[in-house]
Amino acid sequence: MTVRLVECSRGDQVRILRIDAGRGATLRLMNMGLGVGATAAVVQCSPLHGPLLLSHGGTEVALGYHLAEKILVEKD
Amino acid sequence: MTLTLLESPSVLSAPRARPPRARPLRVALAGNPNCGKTSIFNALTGARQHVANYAGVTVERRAGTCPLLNEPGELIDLPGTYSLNAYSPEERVAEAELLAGPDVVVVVTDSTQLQRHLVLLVQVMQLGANPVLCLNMADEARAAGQTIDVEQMERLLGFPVVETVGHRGEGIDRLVAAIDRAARNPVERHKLVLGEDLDRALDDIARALPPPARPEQGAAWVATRLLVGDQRQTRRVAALDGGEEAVALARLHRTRLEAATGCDIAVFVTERYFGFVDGLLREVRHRPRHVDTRQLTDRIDAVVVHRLAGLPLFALVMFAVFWLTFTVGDYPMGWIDAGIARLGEGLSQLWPEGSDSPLRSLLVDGMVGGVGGVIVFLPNILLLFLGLAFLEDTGYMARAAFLTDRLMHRFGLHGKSFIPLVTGFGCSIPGIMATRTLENERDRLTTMLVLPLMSCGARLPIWMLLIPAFFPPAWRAPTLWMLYGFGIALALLLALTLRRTLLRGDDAPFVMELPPYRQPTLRSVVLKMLTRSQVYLRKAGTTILAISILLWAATTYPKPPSYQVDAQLAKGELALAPEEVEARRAAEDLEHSIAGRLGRALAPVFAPIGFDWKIVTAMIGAFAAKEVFVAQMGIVYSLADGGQGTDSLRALLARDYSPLVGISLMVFLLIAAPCMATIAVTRRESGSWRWALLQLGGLTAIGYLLALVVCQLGRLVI
Ligand SMILES: Nc1nc2c(ncn2[C@@H]2O[C@H](COP(=O)(O)OP(=O)(O)OP(=O)(O)O)[C@@H](O)[C@H]2O)c(=O)[nH]1
Ligand SMILES: [Mg+2]
Repeated sequence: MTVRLVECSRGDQVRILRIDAGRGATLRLMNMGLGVGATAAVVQCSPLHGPLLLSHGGTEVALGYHLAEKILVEKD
Repeated sequence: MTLTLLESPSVLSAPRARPPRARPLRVALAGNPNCGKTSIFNALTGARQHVANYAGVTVERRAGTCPLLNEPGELIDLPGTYSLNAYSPEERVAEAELLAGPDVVVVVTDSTQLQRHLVLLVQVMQLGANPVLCLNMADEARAAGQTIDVEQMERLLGFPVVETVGHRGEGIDRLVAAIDRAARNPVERHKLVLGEDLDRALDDIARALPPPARPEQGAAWVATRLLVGDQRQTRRVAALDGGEEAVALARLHRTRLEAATGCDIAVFVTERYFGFVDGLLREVRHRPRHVDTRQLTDRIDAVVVHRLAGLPLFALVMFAVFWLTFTVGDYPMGWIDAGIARLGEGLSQLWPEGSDSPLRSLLVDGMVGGVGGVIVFLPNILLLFLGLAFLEDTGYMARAAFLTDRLMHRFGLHGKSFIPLVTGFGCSIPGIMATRTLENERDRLTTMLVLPLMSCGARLPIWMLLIPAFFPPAWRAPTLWMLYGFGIALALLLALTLRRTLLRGDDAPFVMELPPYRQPTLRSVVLKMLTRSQVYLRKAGTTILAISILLWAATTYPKPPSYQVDAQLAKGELALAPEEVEARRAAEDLEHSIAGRLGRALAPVFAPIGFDWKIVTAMIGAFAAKEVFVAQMGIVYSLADGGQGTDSLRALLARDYSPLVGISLMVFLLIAAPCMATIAVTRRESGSWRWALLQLGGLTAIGYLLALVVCQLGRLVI
């Protein structure tokens, strides 16, 4: 099922399909291992537009709500 | 895509001729954030630069010398950087250093994260640098069951590769040997294959570069920057004779490649970097199919960054830190205090009783009373830093940033600003430096301007002096905690105001890597405490000593020609015991001194917030360094009772001032007039006096107003 990353909840496994952020943020995400095609687990998501915590390949990455809104993922 | 590591003949890998070195060897340490560069630097140089378990600890270039190297030279520690297309100010520092062409670049990587960390190595290779690859955190990689065929890797890359455990100094001897080796025989050509289409485009652009823009080694890098449309490089090349052609060619290739791949050129190039790294790792890395190095971390994070429990837990941890600072710190503080009191008495006895030798007064009142009063609080300072070391070294600091992101967002900042703010609890200066990790200039300025509201370590002695003077024991730790909390709350409100007025604009996206939890080593914690003690004592022995002597002189001289009390006694208007006469004389001395007169001239300004002239003189001294407040109060009281008093300074303050004045004083000292060094750093980091003066004036005005509110409201209520 294709959804925005912000719509995912704790424990979901996701695969990144598209990133609609600017070049800077996209490259930064790639450097943290979250490029298109990467798979990750949602470790935490906070209520009320708080940040998300993704875990993948031994790295944890915190993502602000507004950035997570721009990331399209496939979740199973 | 399959990539081989076979080299193709091209301009990009043309043999280079390095001129013989005229200057000393320069070795730079580069790598992703938090991979252990500073640990390696410390191991190589014997330095004690700050190491902590989160990304963005080092924000400045730091140089040192490594005595182990064959050739004497300079070693440079750099801020962490994910790539060479710099994004934040601290990354630009690293980029600039690497572009300046050091003789050897040690690329430090976290061995458990090679698929990401080696991307920087690829860029360093494009730059034509002379690299040594350091596979750090080899212990963690081994624990996860990973093995690297180091020899095979050296063969494929063509330069030295070394495994290390930075914080324990393992493999440092091999790293030294590798640097020596690299310095002796620089790499002739790099074997970099990024895919046929990209390689061909880069080669094409490189060939079109006019000779001055075609450094023997870094042509691939310049070509790449032109291809992705980097503005700085494009402008530089376009300005050269024949440069327009290369720029036009780069634009052509960009359009073509973007059309063919359907994605942004910079993203495409970065994907190819990852492709190269994948190909390399396939040939040298062996590891179990499924490894989960983060099990422990994920499990801890399920609790620690819990959506509801996380923030209260953080508040509790901070409370524990302050409670420790107070209760545990009180014992050793008592011992030191007693020791210093005895020193004062001992020194006093070198002179006959009642002597008014200026030297005795300088030693006993000025130095012991002033500096001694500051040194007393060393244990408390150490405990505070112990608490901060715990936050930093375990990895909890980065979690705090995550937890506070939502809150910070409400106030126009984001979670990343929280780390500089917490660093400010130690000292505002490294806190302001740490704002370099913020990409957005407005976020950075806002954070910098409100940062002095984080109560720094130099203010802790003031709280340690004032809180017990005015609050009963059970209230002390909570009061300290509330004081810090008040500082944070005010900082957030001010940040919001700034973001709504002077520094309006969109907020930058928040992305941050969280490190795995690590157990702090005893060695690193002890070392940090030692370093802190040295810093504190050195400051007490230099700055504070010097200012104390100045203030002592200003509080002692000039002496009045005659005493009113003597005249009154002679006229028979008064009948006083000899001690009382002494006390009156001392009081007249104080009032007649420069400090006394200055204090009294300014007193009307501060009367509405409850301060008398003594506090005013101490406040002026505190502008130089916050601890001086404590020193000057010590001097004034030591002079006032002629060094005879046995009451502690706390008791004397409680006698002379009401708790309301105490609170007003704390509010004012927390907010107003950050110290001179802070103003100077704000000036440097913001690039203009305007911001530094705004910080000074704004905070002082707010401090005065709030103290006024406290004082006036308090008087109504009481
Ligand atoms: N297990 C393990 N931990 C290490 C090793 N090297 C460093 N560390 C720890 O990793 C953390 C980061 O170390 P630093 O030396 O500050 O890393 P850095 O690369 O300088 O970090 P930045 O300056 O933020 O870019 C600290 O907690 C170190 O104690 C290692 O080889 N193994
Ligand atoms: Mg560092």
